Amino acid sequence: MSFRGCVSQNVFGLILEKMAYRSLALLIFKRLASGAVTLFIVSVLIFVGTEILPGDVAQAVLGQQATPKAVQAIRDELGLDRPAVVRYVEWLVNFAQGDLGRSLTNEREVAELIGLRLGKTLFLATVAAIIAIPLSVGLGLLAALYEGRLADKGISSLTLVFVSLPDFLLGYLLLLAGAVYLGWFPVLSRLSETMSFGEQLRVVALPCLTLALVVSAHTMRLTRAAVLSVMNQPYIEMARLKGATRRRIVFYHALPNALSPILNIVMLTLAFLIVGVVVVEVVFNYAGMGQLMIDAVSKRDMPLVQACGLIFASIYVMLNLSADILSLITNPRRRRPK
Amino acid sequence: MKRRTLLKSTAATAGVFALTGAMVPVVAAPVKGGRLVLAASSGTSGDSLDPTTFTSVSHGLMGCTLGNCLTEIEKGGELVGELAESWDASADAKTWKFNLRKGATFHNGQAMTSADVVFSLNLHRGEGSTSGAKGLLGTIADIRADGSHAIIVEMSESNADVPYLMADYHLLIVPEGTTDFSAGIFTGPYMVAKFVPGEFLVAKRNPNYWKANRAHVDEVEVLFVVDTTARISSLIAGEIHCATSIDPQSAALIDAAPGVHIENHPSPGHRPLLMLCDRAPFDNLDLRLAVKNALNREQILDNVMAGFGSLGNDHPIPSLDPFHAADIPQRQQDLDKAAYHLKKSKFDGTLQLHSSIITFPGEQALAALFQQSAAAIGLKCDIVREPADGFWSKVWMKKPFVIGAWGGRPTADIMLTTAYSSDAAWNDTAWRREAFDQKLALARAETDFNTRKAHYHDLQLMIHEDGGAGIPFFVNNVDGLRDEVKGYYPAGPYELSGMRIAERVWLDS
Repeated sequence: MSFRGCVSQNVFGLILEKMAYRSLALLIFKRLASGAVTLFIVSVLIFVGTEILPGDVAQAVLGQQATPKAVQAIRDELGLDRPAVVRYVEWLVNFAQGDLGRSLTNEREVAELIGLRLGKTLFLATVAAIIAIPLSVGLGLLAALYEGRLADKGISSLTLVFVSLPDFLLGYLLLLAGAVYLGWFPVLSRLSETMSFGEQLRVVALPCLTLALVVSAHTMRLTRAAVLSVMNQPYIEMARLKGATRRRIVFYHALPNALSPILNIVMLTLAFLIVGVVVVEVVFNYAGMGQLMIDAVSKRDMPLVQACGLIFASIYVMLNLSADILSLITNPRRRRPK
Repeated sequence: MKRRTLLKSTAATAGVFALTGAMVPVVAAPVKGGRLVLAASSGTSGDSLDPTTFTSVSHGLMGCTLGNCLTEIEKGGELVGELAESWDASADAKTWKFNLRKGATFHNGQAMTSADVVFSLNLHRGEGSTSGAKGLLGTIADIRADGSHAIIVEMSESNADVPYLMADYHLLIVPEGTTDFSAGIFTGPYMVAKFVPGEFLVAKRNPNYWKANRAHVDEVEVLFVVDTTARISSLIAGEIHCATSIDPQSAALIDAAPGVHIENHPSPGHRPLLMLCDRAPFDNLDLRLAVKNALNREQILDNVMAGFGSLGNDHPIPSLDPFHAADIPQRQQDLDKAAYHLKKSKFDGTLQLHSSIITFPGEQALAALFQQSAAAIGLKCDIVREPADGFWSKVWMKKPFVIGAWGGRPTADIMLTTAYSSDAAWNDTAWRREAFDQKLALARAETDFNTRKAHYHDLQLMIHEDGGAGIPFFVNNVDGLRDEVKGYYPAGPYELSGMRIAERVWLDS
């Protein structure tokens, strides 16, 4: 590469740098727009999905008690005999106006039902994230730092065990140890407003630990892999030839460059913590969004399924968007068009 | 063999526990106060306190904690008055008069009158009703008030069981004109403090409760814990006092844990092999008899229910029912007889036995055990696993050979009318016999116990010999209780002391 070429590239780079913030705004706008399209597609898929499932809300509510007359009475009441497209468009129009509708099974406002549950799921996910993310990123860096040595092997095999255990089994094991034998934590994770913050933490400790262990494994291994893949780059070799210590190489040269994939992993982990709690909520009888969605699906309660599904989808879209923005901010190279 | 003896002895111990449990209230006086925590086995965010939406024991438990019916089933299946003080019928058992209790008030302070009762019962009747009790009240022609504290019920056909119908957990009495049930205004022992569907119901003692010597604890909390493991673990850990619907495999474990015991009592619930009699291949009586004779009932009871149940005799009336026909010989596995009937039926195809986890946990074991017995007589049978979703609407009563599930019904008449009369909506064996229908109507109208019992004997025999249900066993109601819960006794077909545990038990500190 000639000297002249280098200069022109740098000048070009500076101009781009100035344009970057404008393009960042444009990018955010574009991603939000595509997010809206994604949510629309998701809502269609959820609707089609609930339609394909055998039976409808009338049969699901009545169960074995269903007689043709009783089923018809519920269908008439809820207008379920109208064409699917009509019902979908009606729901969509209301939804676009901010009306989430009413639950088909007990006629309560969907917004109210979700309001009760979303906060609990977010609390669980936040506590789990506060434990899981620093722990797993730290362990990942440690493993990368001591690649191939005892610490690396120990961390890797331990996290492999947790990633191989299904979350419900891990949950039951923790429940057996922490609640039934030791009695340190309650079996049923039930929050109430009258509890102090400390008590609330005790109540969610076991489900949070389960979630943290399950996601830590993924995050730790991906962090380790991201750092190590950077470690193979020529500039790391250069640093090593200059005589930098391994610690300095990992933290000053490799980590900043590996930050963008790590941020992506962290965001995906956060998303998983929020939307992936379904099984853990059932094991610990934690009344969050996961249980609500299971109830809604099993009762074919379309407005409620839609609302739950769209909230989960929006969380995914938003977290992915913030992962992209953060990686753009931390890594100037990614702002250049290729 | 060793395992079987062990399990049997466990069941026997549980029986002794139950017996002493029932004796205690006679000796020890109930202790007042405390907070009773019960874990029900179902309950979703879609639940409501509207009795017309009730479908499960969890709903019934809430209903009986908050409200009362006209009548109530007590110890030993005895029917006693609840909001009705007394009743009498015309000679043809068509016109019934219920005299209502004076002095019962709703949670809002309003006095209960006949207008409230008429309104409450009518909620479940009529064209648009989606109530689970609609079928039960189908033969009621008219309900009207007779003064402020009596009602008259006119039946379109004679029915000696009307007072029993009134004990159904849907038929709670609410104030006239109630349209919004979220406040949960009833007449019962506890008043709603907070109800979060799918999570919990907290109810405080009704200070003006009209029943004496009932409702001992200050506060009741009903939790909805769908996961069986969570229910059992929290019982053992002492977070709850009572967990319902314990599966047989876990019951022995609970009994071994300190501080907890099992209440194990017979119920009318059963898990039949349903054969549709109106179409091939089971329109052939010999094939039905081949299936019934092939069933190894003792093996099924031991393996599928771990002994927590009693043998069935291919009719739906359990031994705890006063009309149970004890003299019909118990059908045993008889492979020679089964093979004889199979040969006579000339059936040489393969049966498809449809089964789904939604019926009960253990259905796969039941299907597999039948498959083995069938193979022993050369009867080929494939097991078709059906998804839980849509099982009741798409498979049950549609496929010719299905493993079904029936919960308890309070009377023989309700069971037979609901599932075996020709025009029953849930006639799930499609077995229709005019002679049966006529005899059933006779039995229903008869008020003399012995004559009635003779009629029911014949009806059970018809189903036993000709019907389309292979009924290998009746299940037990199995509740897990902390030892400090006193005063529990079984009553009627349902678990949790006939769902009225909240007002019957107390906590011994």
